[in-house]
Amino acid sequence: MTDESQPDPVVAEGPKPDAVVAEEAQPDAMAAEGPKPDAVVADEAQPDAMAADEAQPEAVVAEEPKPARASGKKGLVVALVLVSTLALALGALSAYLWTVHSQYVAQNEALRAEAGDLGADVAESRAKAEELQTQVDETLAQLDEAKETINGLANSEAQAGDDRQALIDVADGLQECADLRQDMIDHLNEAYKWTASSLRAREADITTYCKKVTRAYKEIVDD
Amino acid sequence: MSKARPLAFAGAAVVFAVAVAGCGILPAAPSPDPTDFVPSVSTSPGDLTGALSPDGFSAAQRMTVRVRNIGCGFLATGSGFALDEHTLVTNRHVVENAKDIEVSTYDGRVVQATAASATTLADIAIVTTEESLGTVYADRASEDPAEGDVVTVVGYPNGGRLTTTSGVVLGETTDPLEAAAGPVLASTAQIEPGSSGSGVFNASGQVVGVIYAKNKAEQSFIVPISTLNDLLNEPSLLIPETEGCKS
Repeated sequence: MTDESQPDPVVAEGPKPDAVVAEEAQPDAMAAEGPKPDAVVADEAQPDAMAADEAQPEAVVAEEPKPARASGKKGLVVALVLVSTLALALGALSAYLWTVHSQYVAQNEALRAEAGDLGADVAESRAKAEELQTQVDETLAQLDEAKETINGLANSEAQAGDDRQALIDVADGLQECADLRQDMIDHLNEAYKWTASSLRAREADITTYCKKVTRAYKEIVDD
Repeated sequence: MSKARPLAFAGAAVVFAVAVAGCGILPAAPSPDPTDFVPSVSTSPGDLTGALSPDGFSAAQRMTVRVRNIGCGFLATGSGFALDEHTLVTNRHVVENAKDIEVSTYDGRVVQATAASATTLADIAIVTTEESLGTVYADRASEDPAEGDVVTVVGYPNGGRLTTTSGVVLGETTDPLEAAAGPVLASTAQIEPGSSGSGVFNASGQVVGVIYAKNKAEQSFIVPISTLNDLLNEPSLLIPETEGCKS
C-alpha cells in the first residue's frame, strides 16, 4: 500500500460506486475476499496478475482428490516399517536377554557348586582350627608350667650359687679363724713378750670374729 | 511415496535409537567366573618380630639378668638388663666393692663379668661380659616417661625369682639419696632390695628408666632413660670400678 506504483490511498478511497463496479466485474473474487476497496483498486492496477491466477484454476481443482489415497499408502508403509523394525528390535532384545539369562544361570550354578565346596573346606578348616586352638591352649599351659619350672630352676641355681659363695666365704672365715687362733696360741706360747691386756684384747677380737663366722655358717645351714 | 520413505526412515531411526538407548539399561553379561576364591595367606603370627616368645618369657624378662656381687666378706645381689650381647646396665651400688661379679640369665645360665664401670652422676653402672647374655636386648626410649604413665619393672626382688610388677609414674623429683646430679622419677611400682638395677619398661616394651631405690612409703625411684642415654653417649663419664678387697 505504500508502493508509489500503487494509487494514492486518498484517491483509492474515492466514491464507492467505482468499487461496486469493480466488484461486479470479478464476482468470484468478491465472494472469496469480501469487500476490500483498497484491494480492488490494487487489482485494477495489476490486471496481468489477475489474469495469471485465472489461467490455472483447473490444475488446483484436479489434484485435490489424490492426497487421500497417497497418505493411506504412506501410513501403511510407515506402519510396516515401524512394526518390522520393532519386531526385529524385540527379537534381538529377547535373544540378548535369553543369552544373558543363560549365562547367569550357568554362572550361578557354577558359583553355587564352588560355594558348596568352599563351605565344606571352611567347615573342615574350622574344625581343624578348633582342634589346633585346643592344642595351642594346652601347649600354652605347658609353656607356662615350663616357664615357671625354668624360673624356679634358675632361682634354685642362683640361690645355690649364693649359698655356695656364702659357704666359700664362711669356709674362708673359718680358715681365717683357725689361723688367728693358731696365731693366738703362738702369742700365748711367747706370752712373756706381750702384756696381758694386749693378749686379752687380741683374744677378744679373734673370738668376736670367729663367733661372727660361726653365726654366718649357722644361718646358711638353717636356710 | 516420496514423503512416506523419509517418514518411515525417521520412524525406524526412532525405534532404533530407542532400542540402542534401551541397551544401556539392559543387564550386562556376567563377568568371567573367578578362578581363585582363597585369599593370599597373610603373615603368620609366628613371623612377626617379638610376637611370640620361644619359651613363654617376654622380651623384657629375657633381657633381665640377676647380678651377684661377691665382695670381701659379703654377698649382694641386684638386677640388670642387657644392652647388647656382652653389656648390661645395673646400679653402681650393686657392683660397688666387688671382688667378683657373676650374672645369671633368666634361664639359669651363669655368666662371669669381665669389667664394670660406673659414674658419680647417677646410680648407674655398666658391666661387660665375655660370654653372651642372650639374644634379646634393651630398646631404649628416646624420652622419659610422663607423669601418669604405666610402667613395668622386671627384676629379682630379694635375689629370688624373676618377677614383674607394674606401677604408675608419679613424676619428677630430686634424688632422695642426694647422690644423683640430675632429677629422678618416682613411681608406685613395688620393689624390694635386689630389685636395684631393674629395667623399667613402658607399654611398648621400651626401657624408660632404671630402678635404684625405694622409700618407706613404698615408692620406687627411677634413673630416667635420658640420663642413661647421656651416659652411654659420653663414655668418659663412666669410670672403671676397681676390683679387689680393701685391706
